[in-house]
Parts: sequence; structure tokens; C-alpha cells
Amino acid sequence: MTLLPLLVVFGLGTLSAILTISRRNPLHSAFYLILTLLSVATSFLFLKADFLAMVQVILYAGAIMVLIIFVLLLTAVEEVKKIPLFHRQTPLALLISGGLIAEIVYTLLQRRILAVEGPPVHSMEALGKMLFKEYGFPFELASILLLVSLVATVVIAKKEGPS
Amino acid sequence: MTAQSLYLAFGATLFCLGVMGAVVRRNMIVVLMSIELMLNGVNVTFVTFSYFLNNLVGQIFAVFVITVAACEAAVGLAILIALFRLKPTVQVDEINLLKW
Repeated sequence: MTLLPLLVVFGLGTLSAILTISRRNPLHSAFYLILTLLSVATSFLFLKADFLAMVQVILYAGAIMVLIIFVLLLTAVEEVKKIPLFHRQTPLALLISGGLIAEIVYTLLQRRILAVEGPPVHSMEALGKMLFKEYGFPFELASILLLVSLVATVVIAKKEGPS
Repeated sequence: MTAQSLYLAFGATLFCLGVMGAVVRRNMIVVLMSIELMLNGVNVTFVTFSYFLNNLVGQIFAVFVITVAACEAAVGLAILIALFRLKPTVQVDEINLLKW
């Protein structure tokens, strides 16, 4: 019976992911994607990853989705009703990825549990210490990556020529 | 059916749905959203193993994955804006300037 909340959250997330990739209006896709991201954040909470759950809500469901919706509204000039929604090879793609999902889920449900016993290490304090001590260099690299992508975004999206 | 296999199945399902959306859809912004879906599936798997193997490295990798996802979304949308200025469409198969 303890699996019931998990099943509800995962069912909601999977359903809204399917709606994300199948809605005609991209704005509806974006809103269903927010629902999927929130259910992923809920599963992080189940897994005692509090910091990641908060980052997921603030950064993914907040910042990135706001950016995507802004760009959607900036580029929405076409008549979305007329044109076909999917590529030509849709049946083949559906067959292959549906088969992949079925295979992965079947295999995972067969496997026995994989776990390590011991005192739980999942505190936000331990995560912060590990991130700043052992993983300090990758952390700095990530900050450089953020800076570079910030500058690149401004340069790419800027208007060409003398203004 | 255990909790662990449910988490892993959820991550794998999100990843495969993201692949499906990125391959099938014609709208470029929906393709970007599908890539976010794939990254989220990977994150669910990382955090699941971090919890069950009692090891924090999975969560740290998830932090880095979220960082890279933010950069990717920003740069991808900037490229989309620049491309849209050149040719006002967001359909991927109408943008074939580089196709010989």
C-alpha cells in the first residue's frame, strides 16, 4: 500500500509527458511539461533529495519554462491548425520508442532490488559539503559554463549590423 | 514490483517519451521541451540510485545536469530567435539552408 502515492505521482507525470508531446498547441505542451516537472520534483521529495526538489521547482518549472513560454509567445505567428503535426515517419518512431519503453519497464520490473545498507547520508548539509570540497573544481567549471552561455545567448540573439 | 523498480521505470519512461517527442514533432520549441523531458528522466534515475545506494554522488551529478540543461535551453532559444529573424518559421523541416 505504500506504493500507492508513488503510482499516483508517476501516472500523473507520465500522462502529462504524453500530452506534452502530443498536443497541437505548443503552449498547452508547455503547461503539461510544467506538470511533468512538478511530479518529478515530487519524486525527488520521496527520495529525500530536498535540495534538488527545490531546485527543480524554482529553476526548471520556474525559470526555464518561463523562458520557453516567452519564446513561444514571441514566435507564434503561424496558423497552427492547418499544417500536419508530425513527421512522415511517425508510425515507425512510435513503434520503436513504444517497444523501447515496454522493454525497459519489463526488464526493470523483473530485477531484484539493488541497495546498500548503512546510515542515511542524504542531508542538505552533507550535499553542500561534498559539492564544495570534493567536487569544487567541477562546480567552478559549471559556473564558467553558465557565464559563457550567458554571453553567448546575448551575442546570438542580438540584432546584426550597426544599430 | 518494488519502489525502486517503479522509480527506474518512471525515469526510463520519461526518457523514451522525450526521445519520441524529439524525433516525431515538427515544432522546434516542442523538440527543445522534449530534450528537457529526457534530461529529467536521467535525473530521476540518478537520484534513485543515489538514494538506494546510500551515496550522494548521484545528487551532485543531478545538480550538474540541471546546470547544463539551463545553459542548453538558453542557448537553444537564442539560436531559435536568431533563426526566426532570418526565416519566420519554427518548423524543423522548413529550415534546410544547410542541406545540400
